[in-house]
Amino acid sequence: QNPTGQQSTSTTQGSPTSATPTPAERAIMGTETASPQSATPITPTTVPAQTAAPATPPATGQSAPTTPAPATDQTPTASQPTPGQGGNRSGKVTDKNGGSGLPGVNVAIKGTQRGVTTDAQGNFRIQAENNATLVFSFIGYKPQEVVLGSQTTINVTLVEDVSTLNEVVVTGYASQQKKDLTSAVAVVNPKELLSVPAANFGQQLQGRVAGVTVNQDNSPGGGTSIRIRGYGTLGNNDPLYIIDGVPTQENLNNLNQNDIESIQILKDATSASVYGSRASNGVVIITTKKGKSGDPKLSFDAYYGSQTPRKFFDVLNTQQYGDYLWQSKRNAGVVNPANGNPSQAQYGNGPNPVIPDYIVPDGAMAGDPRVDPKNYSIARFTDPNFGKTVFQITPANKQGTDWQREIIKAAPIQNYNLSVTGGTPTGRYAFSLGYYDQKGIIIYNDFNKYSLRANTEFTIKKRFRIGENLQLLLSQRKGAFRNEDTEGNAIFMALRMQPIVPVYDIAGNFAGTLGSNLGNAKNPVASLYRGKDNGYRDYRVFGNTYAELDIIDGLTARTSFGLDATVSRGSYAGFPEPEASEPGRTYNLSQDFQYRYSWTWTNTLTYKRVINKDHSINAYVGVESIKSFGELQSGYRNNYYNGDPSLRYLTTGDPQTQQNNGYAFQDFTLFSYFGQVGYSFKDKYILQGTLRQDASSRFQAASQSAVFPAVSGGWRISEESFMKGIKLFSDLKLRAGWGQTGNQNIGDYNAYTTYTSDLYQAGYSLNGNPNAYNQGFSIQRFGNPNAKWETNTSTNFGLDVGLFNGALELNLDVWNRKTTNLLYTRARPFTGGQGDLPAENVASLQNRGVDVQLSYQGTTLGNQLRYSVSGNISTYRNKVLQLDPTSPDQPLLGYSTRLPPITRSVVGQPISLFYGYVIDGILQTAEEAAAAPQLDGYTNASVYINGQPVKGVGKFKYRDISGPNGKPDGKIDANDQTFIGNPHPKFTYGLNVNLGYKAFDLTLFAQGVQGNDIFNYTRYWTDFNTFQGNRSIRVLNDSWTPTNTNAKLPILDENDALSSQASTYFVEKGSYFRMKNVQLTYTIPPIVTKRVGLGTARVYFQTTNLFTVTKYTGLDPDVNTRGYGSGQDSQLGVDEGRYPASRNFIFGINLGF
Amino acid sequence: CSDQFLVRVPQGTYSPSATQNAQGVEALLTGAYGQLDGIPVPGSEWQGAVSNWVFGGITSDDAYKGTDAGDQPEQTALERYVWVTTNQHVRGKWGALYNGVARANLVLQGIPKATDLSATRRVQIRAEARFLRGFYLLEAKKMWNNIPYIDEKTYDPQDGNSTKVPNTDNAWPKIEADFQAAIDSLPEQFAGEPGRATKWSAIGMLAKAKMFQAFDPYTGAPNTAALQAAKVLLDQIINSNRFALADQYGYNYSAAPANRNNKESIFEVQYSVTAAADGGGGAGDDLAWPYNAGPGGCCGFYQPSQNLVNAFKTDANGLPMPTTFNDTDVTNDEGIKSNQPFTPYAGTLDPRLDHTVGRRGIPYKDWGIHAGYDWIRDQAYAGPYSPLKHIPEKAYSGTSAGNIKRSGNNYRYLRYDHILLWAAEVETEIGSLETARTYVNQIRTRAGNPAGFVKTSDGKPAANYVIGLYTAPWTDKAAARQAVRFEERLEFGMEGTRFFDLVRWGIAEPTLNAYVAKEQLKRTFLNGAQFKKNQNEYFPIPQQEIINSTSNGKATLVQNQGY
Repeated sequence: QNPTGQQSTSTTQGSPTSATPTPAERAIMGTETASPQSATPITPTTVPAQTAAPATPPATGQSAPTTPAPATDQTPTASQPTPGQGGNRSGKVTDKNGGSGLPGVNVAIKGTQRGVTTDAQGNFRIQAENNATLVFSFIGYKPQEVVLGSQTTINVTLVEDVSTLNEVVVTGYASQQKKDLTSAVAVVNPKELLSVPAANFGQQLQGRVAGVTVNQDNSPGGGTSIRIRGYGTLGNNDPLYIIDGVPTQENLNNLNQNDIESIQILKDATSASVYGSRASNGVVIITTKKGKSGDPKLSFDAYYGSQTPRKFFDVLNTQQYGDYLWQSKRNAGVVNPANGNPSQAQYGNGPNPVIPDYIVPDGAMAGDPRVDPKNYSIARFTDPNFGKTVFQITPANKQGTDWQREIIKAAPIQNYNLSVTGGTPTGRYAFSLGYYDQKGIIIYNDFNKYSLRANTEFTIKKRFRIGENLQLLLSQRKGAFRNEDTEGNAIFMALRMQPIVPVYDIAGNFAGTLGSNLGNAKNPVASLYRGKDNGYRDYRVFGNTYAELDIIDGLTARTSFGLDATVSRGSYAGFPEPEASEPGRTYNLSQDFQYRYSWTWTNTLTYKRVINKDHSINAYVGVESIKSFGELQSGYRNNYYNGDPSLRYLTTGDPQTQQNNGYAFQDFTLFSYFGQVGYSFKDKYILQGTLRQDASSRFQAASQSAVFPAVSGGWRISEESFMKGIKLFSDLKLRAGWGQTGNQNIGDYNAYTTYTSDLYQAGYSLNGNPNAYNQGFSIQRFGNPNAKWETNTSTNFGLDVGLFNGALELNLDVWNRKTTNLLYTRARPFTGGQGDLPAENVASLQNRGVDVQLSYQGTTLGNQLRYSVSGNISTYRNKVLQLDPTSPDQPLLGYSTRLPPITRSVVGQPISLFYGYVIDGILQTAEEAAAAPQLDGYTNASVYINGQPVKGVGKFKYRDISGPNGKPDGKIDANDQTFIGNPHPKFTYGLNVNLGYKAFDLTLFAQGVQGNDIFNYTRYWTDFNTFQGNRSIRVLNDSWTPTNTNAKLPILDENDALSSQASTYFVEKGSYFRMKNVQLTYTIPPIVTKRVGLGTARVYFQTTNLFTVTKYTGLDPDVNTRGYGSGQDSQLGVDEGRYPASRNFIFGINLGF
Repeated sequence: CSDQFLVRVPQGTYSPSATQNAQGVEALLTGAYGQLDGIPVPGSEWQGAVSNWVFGGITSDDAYKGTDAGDQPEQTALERYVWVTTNQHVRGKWGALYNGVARANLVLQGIPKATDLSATRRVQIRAEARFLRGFYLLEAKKMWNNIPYIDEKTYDPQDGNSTKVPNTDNAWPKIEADFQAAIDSLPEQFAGEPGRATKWSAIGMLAKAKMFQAFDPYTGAPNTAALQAAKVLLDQIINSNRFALADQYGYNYSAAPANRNNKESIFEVQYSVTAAADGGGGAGDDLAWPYNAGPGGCCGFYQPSQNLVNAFKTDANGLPMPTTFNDTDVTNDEGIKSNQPFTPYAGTLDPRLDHTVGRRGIPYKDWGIHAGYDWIRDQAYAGPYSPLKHIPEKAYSGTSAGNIKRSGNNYRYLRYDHILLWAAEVETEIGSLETARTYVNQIRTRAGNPAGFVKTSDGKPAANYVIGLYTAPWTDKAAARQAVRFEERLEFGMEGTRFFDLVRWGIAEPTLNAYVAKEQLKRTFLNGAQFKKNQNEYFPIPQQEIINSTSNGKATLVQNQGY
C-alpha cells in the first residue's frame, strides 16, 4: 500500500473505516483497487450524486484541496477482481428524459470502495456478489441503489435530482456541499443565466439572486454594476470577482459567459472574509468549464436576433415648436412693442409663427435668390464668403424631424460558441471559441468580442495534478455614444435638436444648428456617423496554471499562479462640424495605449478528514501575494487633412499641436496569510472559522496589515433523530454567522502628498513669452499617511428548508452589515487649496436586509408536464451612520449636472437621496402669488397674460420649509430645499417559471423593482426653458394657462430660468415589472438527431424585455447607479438620459455532437 | 521579501522632497503665479477668471449675461441680484482665489527647507510670494469683504482643519502688510521676466488696497486717511517716471507681442498658448466670445449693455454726458438681420467705444466687420453687442491646441491709467481739483490719439469719433468726482472692474437700480431685478464653504449680511 494510506490510518487510531473522504475524494478512491486502509463506507444517506461525479463542476483548478482527478483511472468497462464469489454484471444507465445513455455514471458496490464508471454510451460492466448493492450516482441525478440478485443485466434509469442539497459550492479556496453551508452563498444556475442574451454575465445576473442588484448601461459593450446587499462603502462598491481562483475587477465584458460552469456569490462576510481586504462588497466566484473524461464532445451554440426600440419621448413637431415659442415670448413680454408680435429668426415676426422654407439662410422663403443651389457651400472654415454670399442652404423640415427615430433603430445581435471537451483519466481538456457581436439600437455603435479558451488538466502518478485555465480575448467597442456624456450624448442631442432642422441639407451634407435660433445641439446622426470608428480594443489574457499534490490522504498542497493582463488601445477622432452652431473645426485625434496586469500567486495546504465517522474536518491554510500595475500613454494631434480612417495615427497629424501624457494608473501589492477550519458533527452541527491577514501597499507600514476573522455555525435540524419520522422535510437548517471584511479601494497613493508639474495647472509664463510656460509645481494630492483598513462587519442568520424530497426549497437570510472606519474622502474647505483629497477613516454605514429565495419543481399530467417555479425577493435598508464627525451637517454631494448636485447623503438617512424644492401646485392669481412665499426674481417677476403684466401668476408655488433660523420665513431660498425622493427600492424581485411538455420548454423570467423614486433629469431639458432645444409635448399640454389652471408645469415664459431648479417636479415613481425573457425551446427528438449524427439538438425562440409595467415616463426605469467607477454611488437613481434597454427577438440553436 | 514587496513609491508624481530645494521652491513660486489667471477652478473656468467678467461685468451696468435665457441660469441670477448662497459660480471664484493663497503659503513654507537658495533669491521669493498672497486676498476682499486671512504659519496641507479660520477680522491690515513686505524686498524689475511682481507692482497693489478703503461702501463717505495713504503711493509711481500711457488705447487689449508688457503695464497676468498646456491663456473667458458666425463661434456671453454704449456718446466738445447720456440710445441693429442694410450710429462718440464693444458695421479687431445679427446668439434676448477687449486679434488667436479662443492677450490687471485715475479720485477728494483734471486729461489725450482710432479698411475712422479735453477749470467737487468716475467707466469698460468700483464708491445701489429700471424696458430678463442695499454690495460666502469650515460641530465662517 502506498505510504500515505498508511499514514492516514495511523493518524486515525488504526480504524480502517474511520477515514471518510469527502465526496469528491471518493470519486478518486472509488476507482482504486481494494485498499483496506482507505475503504469507504458508503451509507445510503451519504451517497450523494456527486459521489461519482467524474467531473464535478467546481472540482477544478479553483478548488485546491478537493480537486480530484475527475475520472476513473480505469477504462469504463473494466471490471474489478472481487474477493468473494459473484459474477460479471453489465448494463446500461439511461436518462429518464431522453432515454439516451448516460456516460460517466459512477457505479459503486455499496460498502466497499470499488466501482466503475459508464462508457460513452452509458454501458458498464462490473463484478459483484449476489448480495451486493450497486449504487448508481451521477451529478445532477438522484442516486439509485439496486440490490443484486442473480440477474446479470442491470439497466438503470436515473432521474434528475431536483434537490440541490448536494451541489458542490465553491466558497473560496475550497468547496463545500450546499448542505454544509453556514453562510450566505447564492448559487446561480448558469443555464438560466445564459438564457438572456447579453454581452456579459453581470447583465444576465439581473433579477436572479436575492440581495444582488444589477444595473446596466445597455449600450453595446457598456458597463454593468453589481451591488451585493446594499451599499457598504462610499467609494467603490463593486464586488470582487474570482475566476478560476484568480481575482479580478476588470471589465466584465471581457469574459465569454459560455465558458462558465458555475457561479457562486458570497454575500456575507462569513463566506467572503477569506478574501479579506477586498471582499467587503461580496465576492462572485466563477468557475469555467473543464474537460471530462470520455470521448470528445463537440457542442455548438448560436443565436441571432433583432433588438428593437421600446419607447420614445413625445416631443414637439415643427408647428408645435413654433407655437411653444410664440407663447413663451408673449408670456415673457418679449414682443415688438409696436405690434405686440414675437419674432424669431426662423419663424418670422407675425402674430403667429410661420414655418419658413429654409432655415439656412435664416427663415428664407422659396424664391429668395440666396437659396439658389449655385450659392451652396459647406466650406465654412475656409471660404470668407461663407454666410455672406454662399450658404449651407438647408430646407426647413416642415413636419418635423423625428430625431429619436433617426438614431434609434432595430439592430442585430448574434452569438456563436463552439466547444470541445473530453479527455482520458490522465488528461482532460476543454476548448472553446466564441464570437459575440452586438450592434447598438443607437446607430453606429457596436461591440464584439472573440474569445478562445483552453482549460486542461493532467494527472501524473495519481497523486499529482497539473493544469491550466486560459482565456485569450479580443474585444472591440466602437461608436461615439456614451451614457456618461449625459447632455452631450446622442439621446440628449436627439431631444435637444429642434424638429425644424432636417438631417441633411440640399446637397446631402449633414444639416444642423448653423442658422440662428436653432439652439446649440449637434446633429446626432452626424455625430454618431462621424464617430463610428471611435472606440477601444482590449486584448486580454486571463488564466492560471496550477499544480496539486496529494501528500497523504486528505492532505493536499496546491500552488496556483494566475495572470490577468490586458492591453488596450483607444482611438478617438474629432471632426469639423460646419453645420453646428458650436462646431468642431478640425480633424483631430486622441489615442491611448495602456497595459494593466495583476498576478496572483496562491499556495494552499488543505486537509480533509473524517474521524470516527461522525467528526468531519475540513481545513486549509494559505499564503497569497498579488501585484497589480497599469500604465497609460496617450497622445493628441490636430489638423489632419481629412477624416480618412486610414490616417488615424498620431504621426499623420500636425506635430505643433501635439499633446502627450503618460502615467501609472494602477499600482499596488497585497500580501496575505489565511486559513479556514470547518468542523461537522454527524452532519448535524457545523462550525466554521476563518482568519485572514492582509497587508497592502496602499497603507503605510504602521497600519499596513489587518486581520479579518469570521465564524459561523449551522444546525441541520432535519438530521436530528426527532425529525427522522417527519418525511415532509428533506432539509431543515439554521445558520448563523459573523465576520469581518475590508476595503482598500482608496487609490494607490492615498498615503502620499504629491505634486504635479502640469502646465495647465501650475505653469506660468514668467518671461512673458506668449507661446511658452515656465514649469511649476502644484499639489496634486493631499496624502493621509494614517489611513487604515475600513472594516465591514456582517452578521447573517439563515434558514434553509427543503420540502417534498427537495422539490420545494426555501432559503431565507436576514442580515446586517455595518461598515466602520469607512474610508471617506471628506470635504475640505477650499481655503486649504486644490488637490485630490485623501480618504480618511471617519465614516460609518449600515445596511440591513432580508433575502428570500424560493423554488419548487415537479411534474404533473402523468409526468408529461414538467414545471419549476423559482423566485427571489430581497430588500435592504441603507443608512449613513456617520460621515465627517467634525462637521456632522456636511452632506456628501452627488454630481453636478446643469443642476447643482441632485443627490446628497447625510447622517441618519440612506445614501444618495434626492434634494430640492417641494412644489405645492401653481400660483393661480396675482394675489396668491403675492401672498405665497417669495422667490426673488420669480414670484415678483412679471409675466404677460393677454398683454398685461402680472407678477408670479402661473409659476410654481414652492413650499416654504425653512429659513436661516430653521423656521419658515416667507422666502424661498436654499434653506427650503429638502429631501424629495429616495432611489432605494422597497424591494426587488425576480420570478422564473419553466414549463416543459414533451419536447417543448417554455421559460418565463420576470424581474422588477418596487417602491423607488427616479429623478428624471431629462426633464430639465425637455420641460423647461433651457437653451433653444426641442421640448416635450408636455409644455403644450401641461403648462399653466388661464384656461388650463390644473397644470403640472408653470406658465411658458422665455425669461424663466428658475422653474428648472431641482424640485419634486422631476421626481417620479420608479417601480417596474419587466418581462425580461420569454423563451420557447424545442428539443428535436433523439430519433431524428441520431439519424443526422447529432447528440442533442435544441432550437429556441425568445423575446426579451417583451413588456415593462411602469409609471415612469422616461425611456427606461432601470436607472440606478450613475457609472462604474469609485464614488459613483453618491448619485443613485438619477436618469441622465440613458441608453434604453431594447426589446429583442432571438432565434437560437444548441447542438451537441 | 514582503517588506519591500509592500512598498510602492508613487509613480509619475513629485514627492514633497522635490520641492525642498532651490529649484523646487522656484517651481512652487511659478505655481503660485500660475493661479493668477484664475485657472484651475474647482468648477468651471469662467467662474475663476481673473477678468471678473461674471462678478464685475454682468453684475454691473457694463454688460448682460448674454447668450440665451436658459444658458447658465446661475449667471442670470447673478445679473438679477438674486444672489443665493449656493451659487456655484461664487464658490468657484472662492476656490480659485484661495488656491492661490495656498500656493503662496507653500512657497513661504518651502523657503526655510531650501538650503541651497541664494540669499538674494531667498528674500525675493519671500517677497514675491507675499505679493501673490496679497493679490489673491485683495481679490477675495473685493468679492466678500469678510474673508479669512490664512498665512503660512496657519496652513498645513496635511491637515484639512488647519485653514478653518474665522472671517470676522478685517483683513485689510494683513493684506497691506503683505504688499508692504513685497515693496520692501522686491527689485524694481526682473530683467527678462516681465511676469514677475516688482516693487512697483507692489506699490500699485497697496495703492489699490487703499483705494478700496477710500470710501464707505454704504454711504460713499470719503475716508481721508486711506485717501492720503493712497496719494503717497500713487504719487510715488507717477513721479518715478517709469511708466507712461501706451501711445494707443487699443494696445492694452492687443495680443501682439509688442503690446504685451508695454510701458503702461504695472502688473500683467501673463497668458500664454501652447498645446502642452491644453491651450492655456484666457480659458476663463472662453464663454465670452461672439456666437455662431462670429470669431470663436461660441458662446455669446457677456454682451455689452445699451447703457454702456450710450455712455460713450460725446457732446459737441467731445466730452461725456454723465447725466444725460442714457436719455437716447446709440442706434443699433437690433431686429435687423445681417443681410439687411444697417447704417451705424452717426452721432459723436468717444473712440474708446469701438475698443470696448463689438457692434454691427464696425471692424472687430482684425476679424472683419462685425456682422451684427449673425454673431449674436439671441439678439431678442440680450441685444446686439459683443464683448471685445479680451478677444485677441485673429493673427494672435490660439491655434496650437485647436482652440482659437486661447491667446496671449494678457489681462492687464494694473496699468498706469489705473494709477492716474485713482490719483484723480484722490486729488478730487482732497480738493486738488485741477490736478485731478490734469490726470483725466492725460487719459483723454491718449484716447484721442487719432492713430489709435478704430479704422475701416480705407484708413478712415470707423465712426464719428469726437473726444475733447476738459478745458474749463474744475471748481465743483461733486462735478469733478462725477467726471473722474465717468472717465473710469469709459476707460475700463468691460474689464470686470465696474461693479467693484460702484461698490467702492458707495453708489452701487442708486446707479444699478437706475440702470435696471431703464434697461429692463429693452431686456425683459431684468424685469423685477433689484440691487438690494446692505446685501448685494458683497457676494455671499458660499454656503458649502461655511459648512466645510465646520470645526467641532460649529462653522468657523459667518455669512455676510443680508443672506
